[in-house]
Amino acid sequence: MRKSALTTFALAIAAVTMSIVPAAAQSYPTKPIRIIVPFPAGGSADIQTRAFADAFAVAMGQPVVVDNRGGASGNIGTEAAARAEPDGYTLLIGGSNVINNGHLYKTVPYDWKKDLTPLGLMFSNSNVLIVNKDVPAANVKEFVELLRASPGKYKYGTTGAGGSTHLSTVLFMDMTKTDMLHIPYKGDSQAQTDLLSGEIQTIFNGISPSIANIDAKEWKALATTGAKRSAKLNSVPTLQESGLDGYVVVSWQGLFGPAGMPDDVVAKIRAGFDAVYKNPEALKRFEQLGTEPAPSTPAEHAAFMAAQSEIWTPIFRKLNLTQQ
Amino acid sequence: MPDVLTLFFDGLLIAGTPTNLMFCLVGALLGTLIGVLPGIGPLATMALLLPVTYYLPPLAALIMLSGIYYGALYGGSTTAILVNLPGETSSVVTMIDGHAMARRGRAGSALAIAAIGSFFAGCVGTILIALFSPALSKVALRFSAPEYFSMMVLGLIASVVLAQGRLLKALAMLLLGVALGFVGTDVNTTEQRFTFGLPELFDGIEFVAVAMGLFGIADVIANLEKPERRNQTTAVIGSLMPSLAEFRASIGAIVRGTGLGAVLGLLPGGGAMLASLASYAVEKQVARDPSRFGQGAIEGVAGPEAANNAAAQLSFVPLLTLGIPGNPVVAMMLAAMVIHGIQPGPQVMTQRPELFWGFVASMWFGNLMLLIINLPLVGIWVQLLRIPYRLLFPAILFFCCVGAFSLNNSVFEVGLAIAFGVLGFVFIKLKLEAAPLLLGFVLGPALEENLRRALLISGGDWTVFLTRPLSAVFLLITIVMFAAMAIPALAKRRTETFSQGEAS
Repeated sequence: MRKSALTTFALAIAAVTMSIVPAAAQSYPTKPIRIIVPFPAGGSADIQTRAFADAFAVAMGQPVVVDNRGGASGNIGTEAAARAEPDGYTLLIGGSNVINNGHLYKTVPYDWKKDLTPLGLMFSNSNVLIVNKDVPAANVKEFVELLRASPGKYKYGTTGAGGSTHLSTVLFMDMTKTDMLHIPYKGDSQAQTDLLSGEIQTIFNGISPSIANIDAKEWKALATTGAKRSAKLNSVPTLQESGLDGYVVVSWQGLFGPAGMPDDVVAKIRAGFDAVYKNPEALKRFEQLGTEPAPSTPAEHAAFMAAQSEIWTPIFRKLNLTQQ
Repeated sequence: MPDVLTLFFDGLLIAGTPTNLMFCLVGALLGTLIGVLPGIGPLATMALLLPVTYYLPPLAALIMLSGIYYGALYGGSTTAILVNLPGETSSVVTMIDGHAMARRGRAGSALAIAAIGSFFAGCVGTILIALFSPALSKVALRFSAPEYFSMMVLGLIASVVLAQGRLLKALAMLLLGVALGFVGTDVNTTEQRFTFGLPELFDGIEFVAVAMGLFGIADVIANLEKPERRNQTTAVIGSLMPSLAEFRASIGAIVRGTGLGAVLGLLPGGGAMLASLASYAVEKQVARDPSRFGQGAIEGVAGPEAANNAAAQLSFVPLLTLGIPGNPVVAMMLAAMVIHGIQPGPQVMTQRPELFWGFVASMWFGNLMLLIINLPLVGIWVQLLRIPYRLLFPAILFFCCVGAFSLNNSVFEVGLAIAFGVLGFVFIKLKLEAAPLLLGFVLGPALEENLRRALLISGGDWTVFLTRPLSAVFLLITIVMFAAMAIPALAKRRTETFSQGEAS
């Protein structure tokens, strides 16, 4: 996994140009804004952020540089943002990693409740529960009956212990009182191949990467995980509709800043943020990328984080993963 | 069903429009450039360029991005051969004999044969995709954890074959590499292994930092130690094109490398690196005089270069036929396709034939373009060797630092590369080879992961490795290979005298 020297170069150039302009007097923003993506370039968080950043730059009237600071499942980039000056020039993209890493690592170098300012949710994507075509179940009810008839027989793939697909499945098993065998993978391509060949029977997968094989009838989509049906899989019910009351799990991204940002800076960022979601070109891009915009207020963002923590804390306790 | 040849011909017409050819050229040039620069890879470049593709027609966008992908492979071998620095991960193997050739004044020849081998592999790869995509995708589906495990065992044993020195030393380096590969978070339990509480190590050690240190930086330190030899090696250039004898020696290697790459490229995660390693091991096994390997055997450049290019080409098959990207670079291609409303998968061939065939045909154009770009460039690249070393080595170190820094935009990786550079120098002094270490580093963790997964799926039943036919075949080849290696090792002294007599 590597990252662009180009970004670094752009930052350097920007720093040189900006130092010529007198720093004082003008109001925020007077220099380029950096958005830290705590993962390497090329991942889904990175691609979504770049689409956001282009429109955000237009709204803010300053260049916006995406800075990929990968490492430790997002901890390194998140820490860098948490420790940055709360002047609005360093922002962060965060998702479930911001909350969940606290359960995965013994020491996490930031406290998301204290060290970060939630600035607004950006994207929210449902996942889909898919099974191999040979699994004799057409819906969640039949699948649950199947699982109950032979506990521990069916195998589910995940992108690693403690990751979001693992948590989604554990929550599913918890709510349906079923038991399947966990098969962790590094990354999702081998997991998907094994689901095609029938080595494993089920995965909670992203909707976009599943559509081709659902259409080709290689996989069966049993249910989606969001609060509402997905536009891309409109005929597939949600898990809530399928009888799992309260099962709403989404892959989300939100914009954060360091704690202690001045109110006027937050207000300007919010104005730019709102403009992005009114920019038709940006909305078109989000659609092309297959990601669902889900803009929220900072208060909603903070409440969402608290709710997420409520959902996952008992699941992590149940998993009893080795904390390091 | 229309004739495949007609469809392919239509594809050539679609891909051959001036606009598409221009984007093909842009992609190939950009790819070559980032391939030459160590550390800066195709993935980051494609991520940066993805927003640009919104404004392009779908086919032009895909053509440009895939040009970057295989352009990087061509470019990566250039740095490997000239300055003993892996420009891309897949060029590690090329470095061993490619740089040895450069030292002997055959840099031009090595560069040319790398380009020609890659071109041949690219052409064959394109034809294979056009004719057999659906059938080939079945191969990928036959590979699950037990097959991967057995293949990795074979790969590890093959890595020892790479080494020139004593078997024990090579094994030691291999195991050290495996141990380094284990650094990071365990995927089954989230346990931290060998990270010493350093968060920068939680996701494991970066391959590029290790490779840069052990080869590029260590080589610089070693060269600075002996000024006279250095001046000589950089000045000798020799003829730019391979001699007839060299060419003849390479043909078999290119064909075998292409075949190996074509199969390994189909497997998720397998890809270019494994293909070039396998090709090198095979060439050394079939060579009449294996001791030439490591001293600048042209087959050791031709085979692996053909293999990694064929693998890169064929790694598009699972994406185009199953909708599953096998590596992060191909996943970027998937993202680009989705942007343009194309959902690759089992039905893309029938639903969007013009796109499928145009894309396949553009691969051929891309490879042709890379050959046209690269052959004349050989003359320019080798001029780099005329640069006095006192100017060249700071440049090498500079690009290493930039490359290492850009991995995570952090100085940690720069420090890591320097530490491995010092370690690499110690290895050179102790006459320990770094190549097996690097291969152990890549293969070891994959071996462990698949072993544990195979046993999880089989419910702890070890016979699964023998009852699954493909897996059993790999293990059988491993045993044969190990025997072939161990027996000469027992009678080592005799073999060495014999081969030295023949080589001179």
